[in-house]
Amino acid sequence: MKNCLSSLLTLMLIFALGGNALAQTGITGTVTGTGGPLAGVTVSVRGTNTATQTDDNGKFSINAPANATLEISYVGYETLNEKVGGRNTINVQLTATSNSLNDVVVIGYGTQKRKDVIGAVSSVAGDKIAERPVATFDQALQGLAPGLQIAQRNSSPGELSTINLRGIGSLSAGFEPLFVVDGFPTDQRNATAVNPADIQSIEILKDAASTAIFGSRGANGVIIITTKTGKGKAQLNVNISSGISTVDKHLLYDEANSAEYVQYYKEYYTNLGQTVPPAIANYDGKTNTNWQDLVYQTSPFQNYSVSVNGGDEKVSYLFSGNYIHQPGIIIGEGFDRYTARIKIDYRPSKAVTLGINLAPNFEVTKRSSPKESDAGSLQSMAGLMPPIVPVRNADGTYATFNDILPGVFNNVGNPLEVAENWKENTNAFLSIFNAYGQVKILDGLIYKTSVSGGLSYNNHKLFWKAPAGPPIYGFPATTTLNLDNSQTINWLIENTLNYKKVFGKVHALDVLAGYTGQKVSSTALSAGTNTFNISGPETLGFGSSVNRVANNGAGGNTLISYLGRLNYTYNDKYIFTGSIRRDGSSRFGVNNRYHTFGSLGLGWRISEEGFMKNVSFVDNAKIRASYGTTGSNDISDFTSRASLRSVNQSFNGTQAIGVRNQDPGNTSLTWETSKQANIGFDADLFRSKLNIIFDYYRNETTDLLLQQNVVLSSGFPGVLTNIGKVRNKGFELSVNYRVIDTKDFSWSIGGNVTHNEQKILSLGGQDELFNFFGALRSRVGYEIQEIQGVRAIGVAREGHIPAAQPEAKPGDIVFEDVNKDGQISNFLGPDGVFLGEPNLDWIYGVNTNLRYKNWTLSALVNGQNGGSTFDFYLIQVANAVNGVNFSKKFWYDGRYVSESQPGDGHTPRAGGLTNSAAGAGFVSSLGVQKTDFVRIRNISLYYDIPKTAIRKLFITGAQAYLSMENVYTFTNYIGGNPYSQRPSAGGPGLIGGSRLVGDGRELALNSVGSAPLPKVLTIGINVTF
Amino acid sequence: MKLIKAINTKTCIIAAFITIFTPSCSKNFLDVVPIDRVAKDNFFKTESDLRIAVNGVYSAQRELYSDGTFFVLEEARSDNATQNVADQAERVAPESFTDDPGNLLVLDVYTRDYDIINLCNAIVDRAPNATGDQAVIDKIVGEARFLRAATFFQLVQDFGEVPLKITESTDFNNVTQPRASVDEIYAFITSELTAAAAVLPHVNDGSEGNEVGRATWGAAMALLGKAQLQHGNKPEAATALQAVVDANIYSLLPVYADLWVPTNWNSAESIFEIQFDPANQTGSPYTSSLVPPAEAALLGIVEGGNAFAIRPTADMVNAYEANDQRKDASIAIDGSGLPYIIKYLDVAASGTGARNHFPVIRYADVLLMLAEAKGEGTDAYALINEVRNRAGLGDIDASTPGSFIDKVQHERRVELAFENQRWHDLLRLPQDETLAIMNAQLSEQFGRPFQLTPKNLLYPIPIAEIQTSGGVITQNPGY
Repeated sequence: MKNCLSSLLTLMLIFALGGNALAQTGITGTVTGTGGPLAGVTVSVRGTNTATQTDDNGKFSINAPANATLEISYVGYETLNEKVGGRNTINVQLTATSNSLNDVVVIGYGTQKRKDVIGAVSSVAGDKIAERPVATFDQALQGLAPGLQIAQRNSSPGELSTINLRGIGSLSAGFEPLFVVDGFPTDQRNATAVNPADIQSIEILKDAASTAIFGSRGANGVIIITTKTGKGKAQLNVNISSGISTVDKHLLYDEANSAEYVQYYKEYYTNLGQTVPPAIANYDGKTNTNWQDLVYQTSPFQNYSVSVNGGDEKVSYLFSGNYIHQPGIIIGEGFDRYTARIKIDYRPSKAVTLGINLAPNFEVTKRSSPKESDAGSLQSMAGLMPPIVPVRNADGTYATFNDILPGVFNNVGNPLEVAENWKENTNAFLSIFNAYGQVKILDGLIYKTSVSGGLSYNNHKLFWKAPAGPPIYGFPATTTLNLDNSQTINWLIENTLNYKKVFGKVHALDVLAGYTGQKVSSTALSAGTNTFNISGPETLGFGSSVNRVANNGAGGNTLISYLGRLNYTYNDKYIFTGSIRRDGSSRFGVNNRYHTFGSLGLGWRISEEGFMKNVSFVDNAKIRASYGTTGSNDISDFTSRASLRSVNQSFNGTQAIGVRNQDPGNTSLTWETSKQANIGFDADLFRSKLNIIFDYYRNETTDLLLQQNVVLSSGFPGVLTNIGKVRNKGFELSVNYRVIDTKDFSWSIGGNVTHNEQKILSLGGQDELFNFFGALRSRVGYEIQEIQGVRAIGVAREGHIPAAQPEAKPGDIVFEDVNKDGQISNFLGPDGVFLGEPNLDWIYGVNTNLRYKNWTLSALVNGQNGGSTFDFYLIQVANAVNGVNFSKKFWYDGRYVSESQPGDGHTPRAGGLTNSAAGAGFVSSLGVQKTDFVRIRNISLYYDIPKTAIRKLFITGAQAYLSMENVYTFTNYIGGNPYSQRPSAGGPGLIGGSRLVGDGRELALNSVGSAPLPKVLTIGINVTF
Repeated sequence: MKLIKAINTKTCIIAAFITIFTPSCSKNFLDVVPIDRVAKDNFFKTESDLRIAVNGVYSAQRELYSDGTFFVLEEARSDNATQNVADQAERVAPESFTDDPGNLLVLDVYTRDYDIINLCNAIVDRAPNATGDQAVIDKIVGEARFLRAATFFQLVQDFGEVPLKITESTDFNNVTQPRASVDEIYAFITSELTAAAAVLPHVNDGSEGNEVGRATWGAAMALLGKAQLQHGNKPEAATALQAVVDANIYSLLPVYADLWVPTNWNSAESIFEIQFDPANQTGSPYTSSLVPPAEAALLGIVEGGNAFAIRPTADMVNAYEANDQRKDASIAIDGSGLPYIIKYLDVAASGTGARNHFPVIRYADVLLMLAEAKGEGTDAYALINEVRNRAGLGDIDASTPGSFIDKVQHERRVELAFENQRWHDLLRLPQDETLAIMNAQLSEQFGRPFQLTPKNLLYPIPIAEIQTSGGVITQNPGY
């Protein structure tokens, strides 16, 4: 690896030197900003390819005709157009802006100036992401843009977050937005592999005006990632950071210690009239294992980035490399990623540009337990294992549950033993590459053609070495090997024509027409066996030949699209955007493959009107309105065809194959369509000190791709159809205020908030859909996945035994007899009611930035409000029943003990969960947790090392920084990560209405012990040569 | 001139790009043919297709048995076996008669039954358009009709009236059918099995498509007899069953325990059985799900676990007469002194399951059904005694205490214990007798009085079915 890295560096240096622009003489000058001279500012002669960059002192020299105009541009500053007017010396000062009107905003198949944008588009600059101690950019986006909800379901390094924009609008199809990396539409998995340090900007497109150009895949919004392009004098940038990941202990489960555990279970067995197990009755008073302390660890974090970039009128280039090493905060977990990027644009003539962009990426993910297993993940086991179980038995072997408490419960494993024996590695190679050519045919008319590809290979290996002794609960009884390999190839060809021209000084026209074709094909191969009699080897040949299985799968889809867009601006005041896209997808029924999507948008820059000229505090004000349709084809590849899969059958030992129904098929299956309306308002006030952006949106998803229940006697539990309607509406507000902005001192503060309301308007004639055995329901008039359960309303007291629960003892849970029939049903019966839902009413973020001379301090806070989850981990897994350990806050502190110690009035006596109303409490309001939290997401301190101190070292800029991620979380959620969700399980007999694609999780349910997100503290240095 | 030249150069470059980078705009581009499945409309074209399709039905039937739900719905429900009350509530409910229309096991069996039926429907509906040897096609259709009838028989016994869905589901706007009467369903079963018997061979010769283990004439006739008996048509039952006996294809194995040797597949006594085979990833789960974990460890079984948490009741253990060889072949006592089921024990069971097949109908069952159909008499006792003698027991006759039907029921109970027969056998008794037997056994087991009502003799139609049908499909009385 070291060799590799050094040759890469050498290569980069060669390019850096070779790419140096030759200095020319002519006009000279200095470019300054508020903080002094600016280095690396691009100075170009308008209408030509002549360009240069300022040196360390902000000085430049360039050849230009006396009547020319110089365009002076620099990231983060207003672009200045300065007429030469015969001068030989031109000194200018640039004004820094955030959200500048002339900033270029990347939109679908092109760019626009911020002032002309009338869609709901949020931009996040790459530098806000690069220096955060996170492995993927999505984790850094949280809280930065309104309307964007990012949930890290799993704290383990390398896991994907769940991302959605403006609420979830689909019941059976995916809800993930479309990701576009440098013009290549892809998925979250590939997009998050982009090295954060390479990112120039991220644009989040939220309404139909901006996403309709993506047609079929725009309904859930679009996130565009644009990587940096080389510019000016060659620069070598090195960024090294290193730190530690730790667990935030106040977020862990507050597990009972041995004394509390013994006390609780003595009460428990007495209350249930059962014998107290000897290990509890005769507890020695000594053993007190804190399993969570053993499972969590502090681990190092390292991030090395190096890049070289530069360019002149002929060539611009960027080479970068990045290595991230992030062991988990749970023992045995780890994530390593190596990325590289080569991006070259070559302009052989004034009219022609050719370019390539290659980004290979290699990841190694390590796991030490089945992460999604209710009782098998290390954090779940640490929560279940009683503190009276020692780490090791007297004979030195690891102690398991049954060693100490035989016959009480299942044999929960020792997490340390599991971590030693569960070896699960995933190696992934992901790459996106692109080549394009662009020709200027006439003035203003550009033809561009590009071919892109995405390649991903995944290699997963699990080797479970079954420990000696009785099988461990939730784990295979024998040594098991599973191997999975998969690959996906994704080809895209695009041809676009773009015409931009200003007529008669006031009519600005920008027309786009294009044609694209995309083809995805994937294959997968899996094999496994078990029962290894020879210790050591981990290949299939050494395991049981009878139990050896192998299988493969294949999928594929194609998409053809025709697209067009017209942007027209009159006199910089009135803006019109219309876009149209016709898509055909192989995924749909032959009768309904094509669909046309489109949008219209209008903008009025009210600040440009004559009557506003006297309103001096308004620098810019714009009103935007748009309406349009977008679509979703996010279902599996071949669902629309009635098909049969292969199965095995033997007759008297003679093996044969057979076929069974795979998909029922639906030849008229077609696009899910989202009708989206957006009204927005942008304002820059008080010399752009205050920026306000407000959007109101209303999205109605119709023709939902819905797994419609059909009668079971048809032989199918459900058929994918286009019925039903869901509405999400709400608003987004973001405000930025630069309180102070002087040479030595500046302070800015910004915030954003999103409110979303969700409602199912129709399910095509059905009243409701069941998920997860009916514990989650999507009902017309309600939100998606309402939590259904029996409502616990208190604890029974002596003399106050509820009439509906005559067998209740004091301390048992009292449930609401909703239908007043004198008895309590389980959650499926008449006493089951809605108890909450996962839709977040509010999400918000606040950030601030304080600079004094060379010091900068920044902070980011984010939070959410109004969502709930059904926490089966608390009421069905680590539920203080059968000897398993438990959360004290949930089961112990407020419990009913006796009439003199009645507790908090809602926590039942020990054993009350099983004893109350035939166990109705197992699916009841007891388990509903609010997912509200406020988190100090990041605090960073930067120090810009003075240039005078480093100039002699050929260093043009250097910055040292200290950054802390997930600093502190304020929440009442028990378990630390309110985002935890159970992977979907469906139900027996294929019932359950599980989501067909996406990450397959139930939105409103958790059953795996949750682990807090790691707190990462890093120090780093960023040097530019 | 210069301009024209420039334009020409550009045009050439553009033309080159377009040629290289434009995908063919043919309609075929959107026709992505799946290679990991077969399109239904391109299938069922040949006799080979139909054979593979009917293999899939056997496979679906095997999976229905392999998820073990029947042990809960038929054995634990009856007085034969008990479900550990600390087990999952869904599994305990059928045992303690607290199952409601939301019960997931009931839902599971109902759903899988109709999956099998729908697969059969496709074969029967599409076979007329298939090419090949008509005799071969007829035999395959006969197998499908046998399997469909067997599944409806299962449904009608468990649920009573159910939709008689006998055409393939293709138009999903039009699949909801109301429940048919019990008589209609039995009439259909009778006609299907009669038709199947006409085309199925007496013995499969082992060649492809005629492998041992596929449905035979004997299987269709025995099932026909069973259905007639269950529906109360004793003469018709006797005719069908007598034909099976007279065909001289089947005989009792000399030793009862030999029936349960894991590799004793499709023996002379077997008429139709579920074909498990671990070597083909289709092993039986019953060893691991019926043997208690501690006992599995003791016996050296890798995959033990008693997943069903089912054990014989005390009533069952005590039902055997002294010296009945069937007791030790059916029940063992584990280290904690509790009985467990060993009929399906395979100490060599591995991760892909055990080798034991599961009997659906065997010759002893036919003999006892024939006795019951004929009614009390010398013939009937001779049939019963043939079964008793094999178990090492002496003859009984009219003078033996107890009514004839009680004696038949007793013999069936001990002979066919844990073969999913008992609950349906009990349903042939007069209702008050069935209820009395169950109330007595449950009261003994739970230590509190039980008052079952006729509602408890049928399972509820799954609530999902009723709701989805918009009320077209109705619930059984009392639920």
